Amino acid sequence: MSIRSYKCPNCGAAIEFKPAKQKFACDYCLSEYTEQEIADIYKDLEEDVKEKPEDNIKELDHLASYDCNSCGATVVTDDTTTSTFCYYCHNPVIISDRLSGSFLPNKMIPFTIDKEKAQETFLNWTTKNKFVPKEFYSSSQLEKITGMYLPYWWADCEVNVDYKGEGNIVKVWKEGDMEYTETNKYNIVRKGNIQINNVEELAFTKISNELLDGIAPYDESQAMNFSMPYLSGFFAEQYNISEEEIVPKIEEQVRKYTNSLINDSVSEFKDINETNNKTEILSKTLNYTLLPAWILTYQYDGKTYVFAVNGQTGKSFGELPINNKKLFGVAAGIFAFTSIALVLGGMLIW
Amino acid sequence: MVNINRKLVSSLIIIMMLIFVLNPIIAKGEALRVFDDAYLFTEEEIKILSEEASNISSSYDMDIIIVTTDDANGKSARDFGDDYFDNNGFGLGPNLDGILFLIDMDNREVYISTSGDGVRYLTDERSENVIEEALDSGLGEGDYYGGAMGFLSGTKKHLQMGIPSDQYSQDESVKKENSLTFMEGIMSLITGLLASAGFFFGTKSKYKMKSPVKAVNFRENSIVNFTKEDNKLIDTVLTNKKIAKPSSDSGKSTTHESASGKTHGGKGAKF
Repeated sequence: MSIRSYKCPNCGAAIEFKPAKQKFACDYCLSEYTEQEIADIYKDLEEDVKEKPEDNIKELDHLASYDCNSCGATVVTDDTTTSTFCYYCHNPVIISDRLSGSFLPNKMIPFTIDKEKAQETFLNWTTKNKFVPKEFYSSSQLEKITGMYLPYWWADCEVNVDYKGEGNIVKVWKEGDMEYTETNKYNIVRKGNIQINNVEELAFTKISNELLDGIAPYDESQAMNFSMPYLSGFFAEQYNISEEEIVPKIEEQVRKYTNSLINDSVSEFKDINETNNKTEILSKTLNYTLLPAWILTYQYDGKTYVFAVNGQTGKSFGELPINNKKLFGVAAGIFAFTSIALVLGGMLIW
Repeated sequence: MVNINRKLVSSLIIIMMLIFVLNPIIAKGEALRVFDDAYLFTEEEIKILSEEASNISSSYDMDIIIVTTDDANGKSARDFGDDYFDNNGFGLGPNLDGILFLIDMDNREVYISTSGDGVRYLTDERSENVIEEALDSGLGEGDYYGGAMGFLSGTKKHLQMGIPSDQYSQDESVKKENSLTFMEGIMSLITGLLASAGFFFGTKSKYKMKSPVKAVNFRENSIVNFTKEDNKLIDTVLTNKKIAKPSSDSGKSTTHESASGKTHGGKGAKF
């Protein structure tokens, strides 16, 4: 199984992508590199990967272990993991075989939120909520926050629209003590095509879709072509929902958006009666896209909680454990206070 | 001994004579109508006011009383007026019909207290009119006699007009005492329970992961290119209607209970 580790040309230690600097850096000798510099260093290797025959990759797909090229230990990975760390020497490792052929991503949005920022977001969120158990935002808990590139399908679609309907524009005005209502009825026609880009669906079943909906949206205009070095220092996963499986979901979204866009264009009318609304999806291009997220999973009171931060925008979402004892105490206090205030008020004021 | 008896007899005679001299007012069969405890009127003015009040009183079987005071005994003008009416046994007929006009120098307030049919004649709106007339006739500028005359003429005018056809009486329903019933206690507890339960479950649900509605920038990611975008006017309908006026509440008489438990109406104003 072919793996890739980006190493510092100066000292040989691992190079990781640093979101805050938007550069690649070595933690040992503090050297920094741009994407172009990394690409130049690893040019020869990139060509190697491209030359690999298809059957070789398929065979290797079944393997779920690799030998760390830094310490030599055998490391077992999940069958969808494409970027990880060696368990023993913590060297960042990219399993490049799983990023080739149909699994070669087209696009990505690199991290702009680094670990410190994600931890800060988490702390702001938890400390703002007074009933979170204290042990919950301990520093050992915070260390577990993980930066992950998650696989998505992005579709660019072209839709043909043929819409007809009738609608009213109503004007109301006053003159003296009379009120006038003028109802103008219109025939509405909308024909043409709509291009909808970056229609997004998660291509991965191992994480809650709901959680990721909570940190949407990403700014699609910042997306770039996939570049492997950006995975260094982060986890990354391969899609496990295929293009064929995702198409119906994409089409459903496209129809919904098309209807919204048509409604936008006829929003001046009231009481619309649609007589014809044919939308036809003419073409769709799917892009395999990796999007960044910080994920923190934690156990409290026998229950698993998840927290996520959008790795590009910093938007966060998740569920918090609750200190029931403390909450109950405060609620009892409110009960006592309200009741006493009302009883006294009833006797003295009203 | 004889001397003392003589003195006693002569003083008795003097007392008897004094009573006899003061009697004519009572002897004439006329009840007192003006009680000028604040000394705002001259004797002449009291006479005119009394006569006018008596005239109105006998024409409409309605006790018309004018009271001034410079010490309301710590009461509000309303309570003072109501109590004055009740405690002095004013009011004619079984319903104790009557209208009392009070100039309260202590509270600097003018107040009309009505009772029996007086409540029905002087609705809230009419009472306010009468008070306005009294204030306009000089009360506002310190001419108390003018104000009292204004009250009499305003009252007379409204008595002439009769009871409004849409008159109705409604108690302002004030609680007499600040006591707490058992039900109110229970209600306080329930409200307290609701408030705390609201907080408890509200906080609980706030901490729960809500099913998010996925925010999508599809508008920024789309280009709409209509080759045909047509709105053709096919029909116009014009309708009109009269704007309804808000209904008035001119027939309402608000009533309340005085300390003696009798029902009074009335209105007042500061001056």
